[in-house]
This record gives sequence, structure tokens and C-alpha cells, in this order.
Amino acid sequence: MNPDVQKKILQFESFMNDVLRADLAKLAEKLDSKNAEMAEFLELKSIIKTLKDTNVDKSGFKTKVDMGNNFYIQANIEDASNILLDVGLGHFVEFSLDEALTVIDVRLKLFQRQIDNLRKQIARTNAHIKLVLIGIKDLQDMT
Amino acid sequence: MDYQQLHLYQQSLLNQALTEGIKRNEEQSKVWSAYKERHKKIISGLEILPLELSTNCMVPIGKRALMKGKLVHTNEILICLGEGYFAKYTAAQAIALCNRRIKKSDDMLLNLEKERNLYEMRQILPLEQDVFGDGDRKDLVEHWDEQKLEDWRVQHRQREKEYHKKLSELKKQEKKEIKTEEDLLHRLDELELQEELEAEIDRLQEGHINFYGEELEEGEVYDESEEEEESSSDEATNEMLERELEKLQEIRIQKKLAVPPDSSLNVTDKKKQKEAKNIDDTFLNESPSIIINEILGKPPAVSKAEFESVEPTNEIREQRRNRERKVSFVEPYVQEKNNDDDETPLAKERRVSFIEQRLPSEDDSTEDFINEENEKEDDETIQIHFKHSDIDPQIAISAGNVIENPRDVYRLFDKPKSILKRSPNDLCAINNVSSLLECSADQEIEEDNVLPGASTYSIVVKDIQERKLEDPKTELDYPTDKPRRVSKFKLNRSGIKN
Repeated sequence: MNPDVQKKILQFESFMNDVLRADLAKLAEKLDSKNAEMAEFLELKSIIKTLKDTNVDKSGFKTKVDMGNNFYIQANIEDASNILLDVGLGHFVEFSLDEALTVIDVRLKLFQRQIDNLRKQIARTNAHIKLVLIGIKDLQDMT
Repeated sequence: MDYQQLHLYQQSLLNQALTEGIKRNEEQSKVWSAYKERHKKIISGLEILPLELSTNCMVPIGKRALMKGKLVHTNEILICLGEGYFAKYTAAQAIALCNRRIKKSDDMLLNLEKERNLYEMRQILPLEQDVFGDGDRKDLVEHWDEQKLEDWRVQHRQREKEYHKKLSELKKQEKKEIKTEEDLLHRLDELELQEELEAEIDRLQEGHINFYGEELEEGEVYDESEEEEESSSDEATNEMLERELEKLQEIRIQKKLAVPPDSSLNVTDKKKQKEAKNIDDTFLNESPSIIINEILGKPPAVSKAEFESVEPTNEIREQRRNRERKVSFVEPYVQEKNNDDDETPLAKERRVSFIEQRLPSEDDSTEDFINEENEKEDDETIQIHFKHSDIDPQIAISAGNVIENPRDVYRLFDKPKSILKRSPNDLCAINNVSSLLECSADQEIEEDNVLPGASTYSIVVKDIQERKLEDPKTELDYPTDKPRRVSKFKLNRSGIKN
């Protein structure tokens, strides 16, 4: 076997394992987190929608607050017309329910785009890995 | 695979397992410590919350949003117990629950720490102590198969048998020893020696007590206590002595039977007397011979020299007996009495009294004691020598219902007793019954009573003569007759009583 080819195969393999697969793992992680965030916003959106639908935004409602470790204390929410939204970096902005809905929609669109981008990146990385594998195979076949 | 390689592989595997274990342990401990921390936080919150009726707060809606709200019912806390079950607690109860959970987590943490120590020890120990260092350490192997085990069992059984045989032989020997008279005496001596020693020890102890405790006045008090102690401690030995002496008696009776009555009648006579006296001295039993002595006062004096000259063999026997007795403590009184009358009576008294000391537990001891005393005072030196009269014993074999001598009594009344009820006319039967009743009492006394009157002297002397003459027969007869003379009914009754 050609030692150069041997060397090349080794290089390709190391590249594939150390770079491409690591990238792929990272991207997958990012995708997961984005998906989770999106899910949260979707949940929030549905909550706000139900709040609006049931007209409790005027009358207020009761709920249970988790203190941690599943210790719940009852809480009364008298004014449900306003809601504070997390806008990132630990900052909360007060919106009315409708405003909150539009903000959430914008956020959701953003998330969607990010996720799409991530998916593309992941697909590309996968293609790279495939290519490298084929290249390695070709090299081995050559010898 | 090479052994070395295998060994290394094993070691690496072990190490891997151990590190894994440690990792897991760490994770667990982290989890538990976090759990503990969370609960601590909750406790701090719960301590504050119930102080106010309601609190303004931001209520989380999902994870990304908050809403302004108010905490109400601050003393009512809903707690998830797991598996979807909830319990409503007050704040205090919730705090208690938290404390319980913290304790549990503490326990868990402690156990985890122990586990970690174990793992670390296991990791470090092989390196430090070089447990797996060399492959040349050998296992402990014992080659021991079924066959060998079986063999061993057989051997063991054999040895056991041998041991038991030896044991039984030893026991037999011990038993054998007490078959002859000499052995018996020997045994008696041993027992007496033992007794003496014990008494000595007691005395010594007593002395110690005296020495260390308050001083007792010498003499009576001291002696009394000693006596009491002796009596209590020697009771067992006394019983043993009693048994031995009974045996002795039996043996002597047998011997006596063996001796032809004509040739050595004197000897047997004397022997018997002495024996009776022996027993009386040792056991203080109230038996006729003592009474006889007392009644007699002075017997028809046959001097000792004369007595001995009558039978040359007699002397030898006497000597032997004396020799035998010299070792014994029980019979010194008799011995000395027989041998020399001139001895100082003081010493004798002491010795006799020593015997008495040991037997205060006997029922009739006091009475006998008096008897003895009387005897001593009256006839300290009195010897009773019995000798056959020159006249040949003429045993009148009387016919009919006339009772002339004891033999007749047995001849007449020694019949199987019917268990049938007697008719009132049956005179003879009544007689029979009464005589039977008497028969159950002491034989000699009965004989005395039955003999037709004369002077007391003649009664006694004759009585003894007759008895001696009859002795072989009667003595032989007694054991065989006894069961015959007692009716079944009576036997049954006595059996029940016993």
C-alpha cells in the first residue's frame, strides 16, 4: 500500500472524526435548544390565547406557584391583562396580551429561521462526512 | 494470552470498574447534596412566608413570562409526594417534612461517602500492598476426597470405641475394688481421710476467720460452730459411709454363713457382737445390742485370755481385724476396748465424741448419745464376751401350737397368709395376723418378747445363744421367706406408699 495514501486516509479519518462530527454534535445541540425555546414560546402563545379566549384577563384567576421541589403555594392574579415577557439577557418587558402575542409571533418566526439554518448546516455537515467517507473508500479501493 | 497480559488486563478492568464506581458515586452525592440544598432553601422560604397573610409577587407563566400576582393562603402548602399524589400541609408540617427529607439525604450522603472510601481503598490498596504483584502466590488447596473422609470416619469411630472401652474398664475397676472386705475398708478409710481433711480445712478456715475477725473465746463456742459446719459439709460423705457400711455388713454375714457353726462359734459370736457394736458406734442406731449391754452390766466374765486360748485361729482373726481397724477412725473405741482395758478412757472418749460430732444430723442421735454416755460411764471397761455353754444346744422340736423357742414362732406362723376375710371364730388366724405384725418389727426384739420368761440375764444370754444357733438357718431363710410372708395386698399397698 502506498504510504502517502495511507497517510491521507488517516488524515481524512481524523478530520472526519475530530472536526465534522464535533461540528455536527454542536449543531444538533443548538438545534435542540432552539427547538426547546420555540416550544416554550409556543406554549406561552397558547396560554395567552386561552387567557384571552376565557376572558379571565379582566377578572383575574387563581394559580399555584411552585416554590421549588414541587412545593406549591396558591397565588391570586387579579390583573391578567398585562404580562412580562423575557426578552433575553434576563430582561423582562411588560406588554399587554395582544402586544405579547405579536412579539411572540415575531420571536417564533425568528426561531423558525434559526432552526432552518441550523438544519441546513447539519445537512451540510452530514454531506461532508459522507463525502469524506466516500473519499476514504476510494482511496482504499485505489490501492 | 500470556498470563502477564491477562493479569494486566484484569488489573485495568478492576481499575476501570473502580473509577466508574467513584464517578457514579460522585454524581449521586452531587444529586443528593443539591436535593438537600433545595430543601434548605424551601425551609427558609417557608419560615418567612406564613408571617404575612399575602405577598405581592411575580407569578411565572411558563418559563418565559411572568405576571403580577399575589400569594395568598401562605400557610397552606401543597406538596407533591411523588407518583402524582399531593398533600396539603401547613407551613410547620412542610418544614418538618423538609427536615425529614434532609435527614434522609444526609444518610444517603454518609453512605455514599463510605462507598467512596471503599472504592478509593480498593483502588489504592493493591498498589500499596502489592496484592496482585506476583503471580506466584498459591491458593490453599487441601486434597481431601470422599474415600479419605470415609476412612477417617471409620478410624474415628474405632478410636471412640477404644476410648469408651477404657472408660468402662476404669469404671469396672473402681467397682471391683469394693467387692472384698479389705477393699471396702480401704475405701472407707479413704472416705474418712477425706472427711478428716475437709474438717481440717474447715477448721483452718475457722481459724482464719478468727484471726481476721473479732476474737472468739476458745473452747465451746468455737467447737460448736465447727461441729455444725462439719455436719453440714460432711452429710454427703456420711451417706456414702452408710452405704459402704451396709455393704460391709452384708459381706460379713456371708462370711459368717460360710464359717461352720461348730468350730468357730465363739468367733462368729463375738464377731457378730462386735459388728453390731461397730455399727452402733458409727451410726448410733438404736438396736438391741446396745440395750443388751446396758441391761447386762457385767456379763458372765470370761476373761479375754481364756477366750483367746479357746481358739487359736480366733486370735489370728482378731489380729487381722484389728489391723484392719487400726486405719479406721470410726471404730477406735471398739478396738481399744477389745484390746486393752487399761488404756486411759479420756482419749477414747475424745475419739468417740469425734464420731458423734460428725453425726448430729441423725434423728435419734441425742438419745443414742445418752446411751453411749451411759455405757461409757457405767462400763467403761466392760467387755461382753459370749461363750457357749458346755451343754450342747438342745433344740426341742416342739410339736403342736406350743411355743418354746423362736423357731416355733416361725414354724407356727410362717405360713402364707390368705387374703380372704377371716371368720371371727378363727382364733388361730387372729394370732397369725398379730404375729405377722410383730414380724415386721425388729426380729431380735420379737424373739426377746416371745421367749418365755426367766431372769433378764438368762433371757439375754439364752436369746443370744439361740439366735446364734439358729442364725445360719434363719438368716438364710429371711430373704427367701420375706416375700412369701407378705401378702400381695400388703405388697401393693407398700409399693403405693413408697
